[in-house]
Amino acid sequence: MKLTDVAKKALSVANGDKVDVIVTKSEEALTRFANSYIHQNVKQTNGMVRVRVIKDGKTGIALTNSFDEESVIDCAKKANELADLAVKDPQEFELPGKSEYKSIPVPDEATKKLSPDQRADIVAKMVSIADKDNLKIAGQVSNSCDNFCVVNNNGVEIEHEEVSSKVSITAMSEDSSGQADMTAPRIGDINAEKLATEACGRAVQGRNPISIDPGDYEVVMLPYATAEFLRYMIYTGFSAESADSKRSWVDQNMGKKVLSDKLTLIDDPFHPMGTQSFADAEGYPKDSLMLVENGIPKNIAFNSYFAAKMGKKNTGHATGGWGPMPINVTMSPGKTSVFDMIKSVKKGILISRFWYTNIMDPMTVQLTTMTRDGLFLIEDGKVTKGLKNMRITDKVLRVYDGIIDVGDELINTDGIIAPAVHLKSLNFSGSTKY
Amino acid sequence: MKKHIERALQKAKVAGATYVDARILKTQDERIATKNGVLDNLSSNESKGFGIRVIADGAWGFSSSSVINDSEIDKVAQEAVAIAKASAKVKHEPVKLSPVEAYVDDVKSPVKDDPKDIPISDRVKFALDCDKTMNKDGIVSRSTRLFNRHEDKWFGSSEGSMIYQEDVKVGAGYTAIASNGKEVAQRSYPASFGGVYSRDGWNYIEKYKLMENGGRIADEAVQILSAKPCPQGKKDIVIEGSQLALQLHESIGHPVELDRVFGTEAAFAGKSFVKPEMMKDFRYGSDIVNITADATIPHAFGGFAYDDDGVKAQRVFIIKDGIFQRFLDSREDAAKLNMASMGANRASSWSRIPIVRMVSVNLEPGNSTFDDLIKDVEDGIYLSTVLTWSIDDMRLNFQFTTELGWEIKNGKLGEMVKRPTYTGISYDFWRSCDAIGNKDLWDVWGVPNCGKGEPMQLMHVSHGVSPARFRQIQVGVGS
Repeated sequence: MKLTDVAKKALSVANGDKVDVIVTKSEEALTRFANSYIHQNVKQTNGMVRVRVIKDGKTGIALTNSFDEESVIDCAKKANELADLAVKDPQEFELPGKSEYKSIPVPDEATKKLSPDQRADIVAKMVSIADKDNLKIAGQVSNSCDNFCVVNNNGVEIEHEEVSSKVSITAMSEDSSGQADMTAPRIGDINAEKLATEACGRAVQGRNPISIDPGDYEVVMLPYATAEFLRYMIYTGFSAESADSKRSWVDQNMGKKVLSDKLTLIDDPFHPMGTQSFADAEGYPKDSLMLVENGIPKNIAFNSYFAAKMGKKNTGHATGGWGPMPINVTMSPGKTSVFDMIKSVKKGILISRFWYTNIMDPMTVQLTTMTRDGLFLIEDGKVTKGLKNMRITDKVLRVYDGIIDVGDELINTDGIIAPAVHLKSLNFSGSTKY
Repeated sequence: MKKHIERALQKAKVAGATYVDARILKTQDERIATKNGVLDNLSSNESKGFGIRVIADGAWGFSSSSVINDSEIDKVAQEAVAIAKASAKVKHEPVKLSPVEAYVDDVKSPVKDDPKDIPISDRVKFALDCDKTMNKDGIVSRSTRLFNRHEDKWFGSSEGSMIYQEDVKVGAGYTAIASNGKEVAQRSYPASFGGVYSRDGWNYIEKYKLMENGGRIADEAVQILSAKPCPQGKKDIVIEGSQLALQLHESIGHPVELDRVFGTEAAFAGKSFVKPEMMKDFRYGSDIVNITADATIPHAFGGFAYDDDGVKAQRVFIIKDGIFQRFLDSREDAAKLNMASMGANRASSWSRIPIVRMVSVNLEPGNSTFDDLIKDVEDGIYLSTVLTWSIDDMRLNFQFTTELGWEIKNGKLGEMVKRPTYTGISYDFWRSCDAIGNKDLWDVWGVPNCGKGEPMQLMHVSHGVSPARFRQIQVGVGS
């Protein structure tokens, strides 16, 4: 059965002024390895029908993962029943109507059909690279195919397919580790051997790490680390829901230059390095949205509800159950290589990635996090020693106001496309024992 | 459903599996959320599916589907075996499992007042009434959440187990956010992460008197904005229950998961500083620190009758009189230490494999009253309610921020401090514990969102704790 047929069945039973139905079907497979062998290897086939019924301002939502006719009808009836029991929200809004959509590339068949044997072969290649340096590796090779359909009673009827793949590797010696990962819409774009070589190189370089005192240091951050700070900037700032609750640093600083002019962020659902989609979870057409232009916050993300509530234009960022959020964020690259960034540092620290980051204050994006899988001392323009891991407690708005340089190479790391950055200072607030 | 399980076991064995287990899980969730006096979410979510886990050629394979019928079971069984054979291409040693008794059992939930039997309109009204109690000057956002789940699980294995378990789960709580235009302050009740959670009925929610506490919580959120920053330096601290539950979770619960110790979470959740050779020898905490893993506690959110290896729920000591005793484990990891599993291998969904998870991991009660905890502190901080948490990937260096705290001066609670932070090294911290609250202060805090594994699994776990005191801890980082 086509997803639109499932959605239309639900729509025919749902009874409201406004009704929309999302139907998804997904196949996800993930081969996981550790200690240089495959220890977990899984596949899931799942689906979802989500029916939203709005009657006179009262909203009911029901979900099921069964596509048989009886379950779909029951789901729609449940949404009707919940809408009857709900309390009126005085905020009026309209669901999207029939629209023109931008075209996106046909999903990659090789990614869609990547088999368990092919995933195992990729793991085996990475193991053989690590074996040369006597390193153990852990990580994943995964692929997914998601079919997505939205139908509403205002003319929207869309269906499309997204595929994605990911390879991540952590290489480990007794006293060091290095990591690399990449997410891509085409498995052929991921060079697993290159990732393995990078991860192993950092693990080898980080052996015999030393401790240094906490404090402020000039730093170079690889794209994995850059992206982590961006992730928390996005989460705390760019949702209209946060702005509506007076908790958005972006809303508080809209149009003001609060970040380095070297920082430009765009939500780009058509970036070739990312998984592309032409419509949001309400079926509204997606388009690029400038989030930060040369250090100045420019826009936040809206869905139909918050656009109406705040008197703004819908930006096509509905997420289907969560608030509006940009989910295709790219930081514009610069022109400097990581090698040249390091070369310009008299004394500083090279950070590979962060771990267990959490927000302390959303208005300044103050966070705490730990370094992981490769921390290095830079002296006189060269990486000289591996360092034991350290804790960071700092405000991202302060830190990213001090961008000295932006890297020339982008990486898609878990959905955020980011370059390396060179920063004036970052506060290392503590240290650990390895 | 048992016929489907039997079919899955048989088909996988025919396809070449030397071990098979199959699980069918059906969940029915209801969620009610309010925001600023408006109903923000009223939803019902039904999910069902099955997963087949096999060992073939000495390696693991797993496949799962939301479509439960004979042809899909046959297909998924074949897939699971094919995946296991692919795993065997990059294999270390053949998987071995510690022995387990075969159980045939039906375990019904003891809950009598399932929230789904209370009219939804009454629960919606309750949530909106709670929301209203926080409607005070200075509050810019208030949200209330109610959650309930009915869960049915069937498990069968090629070793002869056939188990059915039923569970009813509830959760409730709210958050008020105050703002002065430049700064925001959050206050949650009864705890963060949407509130408190249990395998229990509506009576559990009533116990926390949500209607009676909303006004106080809103007032405290506003007061935080003008409270002074937490002083910096080493102080004695007393930690409230819900915060101490997360402290225990991060700095003891995760480090003693045996899969981490063996490196199988190295790329994601991380490893651990705790090693097998530390059993019965390593001083993890002071003499008064006793930690149990107890899946048998009635109504504990992390409890159950059998884990997803088919091992019966148990109570074991993780730390006794401050000395580390044993790990949380699975049959596979326990076999590597030639031990029987204590039963902590759990999957968050029918579509996920079981991995080592916390159950209810508890700090056993001490003998102090709350006044006792405070009165012996000359210069310290009392910290309450999780705001921010972070710990390194070996589970050594942690840093927490709580929503608020109060100074303790000369044995008495004093002025409020905003967002106090404390940091330390896990074992140093637990060794500094010199007083633990008594049984009257002990409560089991459910954690609904313990993340681990790839693909991600969010697990329900819990921690029984009472407030406790720790000496000379670094506070005020980033103040």
